[in-house]
This record gives sequence, structure tokens and C-alpha cells, in this order.
Amino acid sequence: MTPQQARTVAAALMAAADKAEAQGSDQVETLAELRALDDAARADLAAAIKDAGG
Amino acid sequence: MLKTHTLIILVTIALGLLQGCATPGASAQLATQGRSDNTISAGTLATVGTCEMDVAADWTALAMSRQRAARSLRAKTITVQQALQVQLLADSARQDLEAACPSTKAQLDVGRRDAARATLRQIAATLEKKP
Repeated sequence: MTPQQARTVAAALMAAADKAEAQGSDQVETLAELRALDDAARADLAAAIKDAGG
Repeated sequence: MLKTHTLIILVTIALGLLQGCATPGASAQLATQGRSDNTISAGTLATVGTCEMDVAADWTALAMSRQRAARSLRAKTITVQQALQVQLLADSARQDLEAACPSTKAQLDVGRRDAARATLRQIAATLEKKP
């Protein structure tokens, strides 16, 4: 894992932990946060492709 | 008398050795006698037999590969065709990651995880090609 990947994983885990605490849950939905990360990246790539005329 | 961090390390190693025998999805609970000095009093340690941490790095790599493609396309260092290829490959890798670990309590499907990793390597190769 690169340092950047490690920071990204850490940020996703922290966000998931914050969300769990805000909801009063003792379980962190790591997968949900990781899916959201990729959803955002997918949307951004789709936008870039569209802007480039794809 | 063991220091707290030494105790935590020993417990982690012990749980790691027990992992092969653990019931999938079972939680490992550890409780020790609370003491006025700084030993751990009680805690539920990492759940054994679940897959989410096994795929966390791969999910991150997946998202980052799309981000890299978007940046490269905007910088015109890759073509639209390359970007489309990355998006398709990334969607395929995502399907494998979803199947590898569909939920927090699932056991890892190593084959699907490895398939996702192979696709992520293909994506990296696609992004390396000069337009």
C-alpha cells in the first residue's frame, strides 16, 4: 500500500467511525464508506470523459 | 507485571493464532481484571473471520485508479478511449470486490479478490500507455 492509499483508507475509516458514533452505533460500516469513495471517483471520471467529448 | 502495550501485543498475536480455528463472523471478546494501574479493563477486539479489512486497500486502489484516470484525462496525458477503458475495467474490478466481500460478516472470497487485483493491475498498465 502506498502512503497516499494508506491516508485514503484512514480517512474513509475515520469518516465511517464518525458516522457510526453520530448514529449511536457500535459498528463501523467500513464497506459503505469505501463504496461511497468509489461512487464519487466513478462520477468524477464520467464527468471528465463527458467533458472531453467522450 | 506486563505493561499495557506488551499485553495488547501478546493478545493480538494470540488472536491471530486462533483465527484459523475461529467461527466465521464470531467476535473475540477479551476481558481482564481491571486494576488501578494501567492494564486494559475490557474490550471487544477485532472481529475475526470477516472480510472488510481484507478488501479495504483494494477498494481504495480502485477509487484512486479512477481519480488518476480523471486527472490524466483532464491533463490530456491519456485519451478518452483510455479513460473509457479504465472506467470499464474499474467497474469489473468493483463487481469482483463486491462479490469478494459482500457484507461485513461475510468470509472473504479470495478468488474474486484476486480477480479484482488482476484487473487493477490492468488498469495501471492502461494508464501507463502513452497516447
